[in-house]
Amino acid sequence: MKKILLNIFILSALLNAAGGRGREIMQEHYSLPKADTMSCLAIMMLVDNKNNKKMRQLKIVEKDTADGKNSFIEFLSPAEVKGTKFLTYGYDNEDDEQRLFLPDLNKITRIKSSGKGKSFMGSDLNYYDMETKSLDDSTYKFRSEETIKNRACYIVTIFPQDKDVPYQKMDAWVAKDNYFIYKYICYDKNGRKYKTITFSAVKKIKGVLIAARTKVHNHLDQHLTLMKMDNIKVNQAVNPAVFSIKNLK
Amino acid sequence: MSYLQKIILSLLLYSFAAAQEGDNTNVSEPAADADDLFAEMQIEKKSAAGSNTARCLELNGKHKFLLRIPFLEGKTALDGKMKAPGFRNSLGFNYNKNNITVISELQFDFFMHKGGDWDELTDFKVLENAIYRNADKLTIGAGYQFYTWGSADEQNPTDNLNPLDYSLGPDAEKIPLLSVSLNYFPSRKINIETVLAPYSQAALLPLDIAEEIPEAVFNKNLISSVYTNPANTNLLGLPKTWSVAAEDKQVTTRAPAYKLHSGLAGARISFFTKAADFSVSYLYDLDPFYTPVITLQRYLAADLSNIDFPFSNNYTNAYSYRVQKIALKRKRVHRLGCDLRFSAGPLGLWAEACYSITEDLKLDNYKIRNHDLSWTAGFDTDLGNRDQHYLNFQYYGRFIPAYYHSFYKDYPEGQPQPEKSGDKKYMEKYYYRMFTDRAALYTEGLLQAIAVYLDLSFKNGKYQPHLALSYQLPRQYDQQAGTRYGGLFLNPEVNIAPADSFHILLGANYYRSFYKEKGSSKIKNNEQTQMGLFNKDSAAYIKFTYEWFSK
Repeated sequence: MKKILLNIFILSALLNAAGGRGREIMQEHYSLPKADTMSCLAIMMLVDNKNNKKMRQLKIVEKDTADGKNSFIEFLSPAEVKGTKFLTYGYDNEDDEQRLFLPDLNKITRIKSSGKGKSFMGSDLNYYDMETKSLDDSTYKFRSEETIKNRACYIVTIFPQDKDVPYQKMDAWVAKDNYFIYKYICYDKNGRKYKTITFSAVKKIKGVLIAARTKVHNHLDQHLTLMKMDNIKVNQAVNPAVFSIKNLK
Repeated sequence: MSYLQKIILSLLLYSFAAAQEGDNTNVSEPAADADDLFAEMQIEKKSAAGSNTARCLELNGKHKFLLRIPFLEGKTALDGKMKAPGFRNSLGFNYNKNNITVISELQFDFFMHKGGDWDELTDFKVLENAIYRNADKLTIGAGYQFYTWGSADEQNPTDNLNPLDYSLGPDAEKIPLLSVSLNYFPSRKINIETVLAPYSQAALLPLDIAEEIPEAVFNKNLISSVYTNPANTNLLGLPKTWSVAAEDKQVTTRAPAYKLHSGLAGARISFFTKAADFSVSYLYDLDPFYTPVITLQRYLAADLSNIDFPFSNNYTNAYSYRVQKIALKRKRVHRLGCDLRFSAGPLGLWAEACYSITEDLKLDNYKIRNHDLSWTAGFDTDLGNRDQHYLNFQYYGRFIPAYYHSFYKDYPEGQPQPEKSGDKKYMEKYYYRMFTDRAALYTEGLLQAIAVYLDLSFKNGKYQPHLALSYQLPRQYDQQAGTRYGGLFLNPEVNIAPADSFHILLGANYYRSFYKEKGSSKIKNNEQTQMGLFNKDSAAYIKFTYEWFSK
């Protein structure tokens, strides 16, 4: 009996160590310098399994506040989505306030803050992917190490605690040298490999690491989303009026 | 260390070692393809000039080909804009410089009418044409503008600024309103909007009310004989046979005086809080529907010298009243509105209501239609394992306080009592009761309805089936004429989006009301109701749409 308990203790100690180490690694990631403000132009390409492509061009502005992160996104093309605007007032400890302006209806509508799994404008990114996350949102487990594209990485499995998150778990490739996450593999609620998100063209702008290219491969739908950011400005003054209902109209 | 401990430790060490080798199944796809795709993605810097400080001229267009296929037996003619095939274009420009924006958009419709005459194809309309000045907390607009009041989806009882064009169906399109608007944002959470229109524009109603007025009310009914020896002595001396002398039908539509006092004004205050968005509004409006102003003419219905009966000197039934002329006027309406929108878990919820107060303030004037209360309440949510589908449910309706629904009880078979036909007050009431509510398309005191909208999405939005369904149930209507079982609207549709901004829409619109006349067992369509009115326009359709812009 004592031997069984000892074995269980050793096993759980090892597992806890893995979890503890996972959290430590992610703590380093979340301690990376963040941008107080960020703005950029972005272009998204949506590619289906027959190689048909659709493009979306958008403008993104973000600003950190005491309560959370505010963001404003405006679609610039194509014509059918042009003028669609999203305004989010982020709150760290509460549901975000999200509003949407639809130019065809000339209407500002408040959208529900749940629905995190919903696709963002037809892309393979969902609203959860677009959210800012924090260390205590999830639990972690260190898995192993791997080198991808000549970059040594820790692999940490992330278990989101919020039941509305569309993933059961995510594997994150955290670079050893700078603790930036270069890749995620996300698993759906049934444990199936759902999508792979990779970040490249990572730049350091005013001390902040930002990925200028994002690729999302949706394994379930055999669909691809590519996002390329340009004209990235970090920690530059942003007119607070950008994050206003007036700017939505 | 025991044997079991050694095994466990070995397994753990093995698993660590295995993890060090990496999981080859998770290596990302070959980069070459992604690099090629990224190279294709060129951001147009000009497109970013959407901010108000940039100078920018943008041209834009929307184009729609419409082919309707009517499928109801006996109603397959392509009459009317709701069924005629055609092509719709809207072209416009948008110029922005130094916080001033000019928008000009025009619509050109080319609908094929019977005979296909080329010179009758074109229909030209003005859409948004306005100048906007955007200051720090204030936006001023002047010109032909579109407004959207209310936060509910689909049904908006408070959204009454723009007149409506029903020529393409009950899902009416807005007509731009020539107006000046001020939008003031004193803080992040409050918006005050005021609108002033110098002259109230007319709606394009689904019915020509003047056509609906029967010619019979203008005619003279001349008595040619009376009851002289009836079994029922109450009939003694009452008219027995008539002849009809036709008179001209005189119905005029009187537009509001072309003066500033025929304008409209409105204000709305909106609050955007963490918990909910809500607003209250007031609109000093002109009724889009007509109020009849009836002029009666007294005439000699019975030439007593030619009728064989000993009439007394007090016999008044020799005279009657006919409608000499009807003027259709638009009267004032005061509209008080409110709306609320918030979310609770996976549901978005809303409620909206509007109380319209007519000039019959005390609800005791049969010459003017009564007030009405319109409302909607609903919710929406996302469905599917990736929230890719959308469901919207609404309960909406209209209530008319003190609605008069005893016409056929007070006037059997819709006719005045012969012994009172010489009473002017009685006849005046009779004619107004016949027309006042009808001119406003009021057919019941209480209308309740539910509507369901379901949007599905497959293949990342390439195929989007859609279903809209609405069922309306009337109450407090005149049941002497028959029984109404409600009205139905059905719109199944598939939206295929093979390329950006290009859509192929395949669907159908079906309108039907269910009505049983008194004494009949057959349920038929009732064209006196909204759903029944559009039954003849039910049709399947194919639409191609494309929109573009160029900077």
